[in-house]
Amino acid sequence: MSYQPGKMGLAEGLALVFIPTFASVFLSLGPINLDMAATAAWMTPFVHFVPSVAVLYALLYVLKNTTGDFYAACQELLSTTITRLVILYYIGVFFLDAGLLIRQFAEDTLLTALPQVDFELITVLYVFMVVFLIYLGIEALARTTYIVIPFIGFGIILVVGLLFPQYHWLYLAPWNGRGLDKVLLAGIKVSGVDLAIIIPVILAGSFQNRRTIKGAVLYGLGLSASLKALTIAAGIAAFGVPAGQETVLPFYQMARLIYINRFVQHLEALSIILWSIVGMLTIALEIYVGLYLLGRLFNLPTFRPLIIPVVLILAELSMLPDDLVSVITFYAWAEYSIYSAGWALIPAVLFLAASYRVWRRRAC
Amino acid sequence: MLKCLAQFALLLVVSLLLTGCFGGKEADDVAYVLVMGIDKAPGGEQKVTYQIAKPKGGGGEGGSSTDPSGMGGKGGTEQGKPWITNTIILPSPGDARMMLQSSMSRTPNFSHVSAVVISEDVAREGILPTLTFPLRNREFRESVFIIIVQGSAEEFIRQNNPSLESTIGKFYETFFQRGPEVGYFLRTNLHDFITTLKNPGGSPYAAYGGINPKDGQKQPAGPRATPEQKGDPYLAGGIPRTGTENAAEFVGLAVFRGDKMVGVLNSDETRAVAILQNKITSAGLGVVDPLKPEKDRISFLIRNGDTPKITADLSGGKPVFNADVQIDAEIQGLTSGINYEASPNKELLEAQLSKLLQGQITAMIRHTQQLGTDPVGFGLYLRPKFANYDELEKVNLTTLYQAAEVYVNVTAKIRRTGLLWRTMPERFE
Repeated sequence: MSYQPGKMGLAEGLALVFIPTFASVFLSLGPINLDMAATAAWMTPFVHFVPSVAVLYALLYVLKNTTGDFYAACQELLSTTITRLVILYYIGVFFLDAGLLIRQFAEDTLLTALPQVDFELITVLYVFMVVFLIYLGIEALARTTYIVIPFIGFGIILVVGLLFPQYHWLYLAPWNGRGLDKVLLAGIKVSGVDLAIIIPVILAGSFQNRRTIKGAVLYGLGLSASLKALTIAAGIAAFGVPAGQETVLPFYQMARLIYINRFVQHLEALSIILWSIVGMLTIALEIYVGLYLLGRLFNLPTFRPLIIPVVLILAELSMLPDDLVSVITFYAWAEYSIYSAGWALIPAVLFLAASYRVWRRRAC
Repeated sequence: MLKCLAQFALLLVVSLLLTGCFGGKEADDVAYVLVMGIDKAPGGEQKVTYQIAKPKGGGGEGGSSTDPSGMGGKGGTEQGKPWITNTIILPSPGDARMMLQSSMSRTPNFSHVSAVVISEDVAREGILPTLTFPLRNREFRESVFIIIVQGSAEEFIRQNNPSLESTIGKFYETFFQRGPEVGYFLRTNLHDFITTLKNPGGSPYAAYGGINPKDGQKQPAGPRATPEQKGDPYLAGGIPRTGTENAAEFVGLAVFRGDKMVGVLNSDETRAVAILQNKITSAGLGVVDPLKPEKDRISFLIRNGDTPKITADLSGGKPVFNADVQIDAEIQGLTSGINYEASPNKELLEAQLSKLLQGQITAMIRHTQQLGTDPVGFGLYLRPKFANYDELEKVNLTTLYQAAEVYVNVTAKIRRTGLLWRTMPERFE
């Protein structure tokens, strides 16, 4: 299979986990978290980090007791029909997420940077870059992402640091938000945003070994959770809960709020570059994973001919919703429900199946 | 070879697409709105005044190449100034662009609006409906200053002709940057106003402006809060002055309950708010000489010695606040010739200054409790006292502040004595 990539290391894996789990910080999920956890919303990335690590260990256990990657593990542990259904589900989820991200990032670009331009043209620009990135392949995509990560980290810390004069620390009180029980529930509810931890497992054949996958997910998710928590905490300290709940693009608003003096102010233009790059990389990665699974499912020799039609179809579908608010609402709902099944339910079923298999082997 | 060429062509196309110049407009196609003024108009409509930058050589009776601003031109009442004003009665802010566009050749652009000036009449009815438009519109910056003025905003904008600044944007920027050096006015931008309005704890406020008649008449805003203070408190438009400088001035603070203006704090009360918010970097202050109170005075330069320590207690049901304020002072002038630089006179003078500031801060707190507004943000200190955010949302922190007992303790220390370290007795032989 020509789409089977080579061997990727820890850095590439880290990048593949970091970028899709972090992209939501530039969108409207932060304000939605505020609804559930209020002043303690910054804790939610750490809350869902813990079960995500449990899911990772469950998947590593599955890989250990099967041969090959996620697809092969499904085939070994579940029947071929169920495997097809599971893979179709993941294809659907990754394509759905990519479509929703295309729409949101294109709308946000229109809203913040290019208000005079036709929405379709902005979508075409995203599509163009996404196609270009997918054509380069997963290794190039992962390494590009890895190169970009320090800039993202620096950008986030720069914005959070320069916003210091705007903070009201008491906006973070009461420290436990709506109550620690509700914060825990909120954290679990939004854990679908960590669906990307499954990407290194899906692409297990491309990684050196299981230890690489473990390291990639732990470091990638840990970095993503830490930066997300920092950004959300800074957003709450700058805007407070009610004003923060209203914003469409909290990070953009934060960058826009920077005012050190007449010469250092309004760094939103730099933040737009930052999140549009993150958006393009995330969309490209998710479509790549969907196409990869499509190739595996139908045992295709290559998925390259599918890249342009799939991206164009997704871009067209992304334009179907009438307005941005319904996209944001649906995206939040999908993260809480549809994505959670792929994040927890299917790995749990695989883990149980693998455990049963091991138990039976030992019993025999 | 063909593949390489195709890839190169692709890169070229990408680089062309990534220029980011879509929908760009040349600077001479755009009219930059610098200041907006909001007044009431009959029929529930708003009268909006736009102060628009007039670029060099543009419009009017021709640009003046000798204009030091480099943006000369004459026209209307703003002769020689690099701006024009345009007042329109609008049914809604959304119609602004269309109606403004219909009266000008250029496209109005609001990305350089530096201040929104709102008349007191509008402010007393509530300004949130007015602010929702700039808040949602990406062209406006959240750093736009919010200013409340006595009388008409249109009149204020027309009469505001700063002679020291070349552009009106720089005037507002420079003026409000100086706030911490004065303490008589405080800057508030759109972000500060909205976040304070929406978050539990604290009430919004805005700088209070007015037009001075420049007749030299003393118009104090009220009696002095303490017998230790030498000067009277003032409000915008009341400073006794004459001369040729700009008639516009900012003194005092318009305070709000919700989005409705409920009163004005005078210069002394505004400085008290600034002290409690740790916003004073250096402010001049006159104190009655404790040993020669009849005619002598001592001038100080004061600043916050440390962040004021405000603690809150809600255990008894009724909030109790304790504010411990440290002030660093520098003697700037002594008229009595008494050696206040050393003990025991130094301690006497420190006590006099502490008493003055404590009296002014207490008077400000009493006044704001009566008005039902919390510009200092005492309510914020109550937030950690609630079990969770749901509990916090059930109470009105401003109402709690109104009923609170507030204890203020000011400790002033004379840290420096200017360029003289002691006062020698005068000898008239």
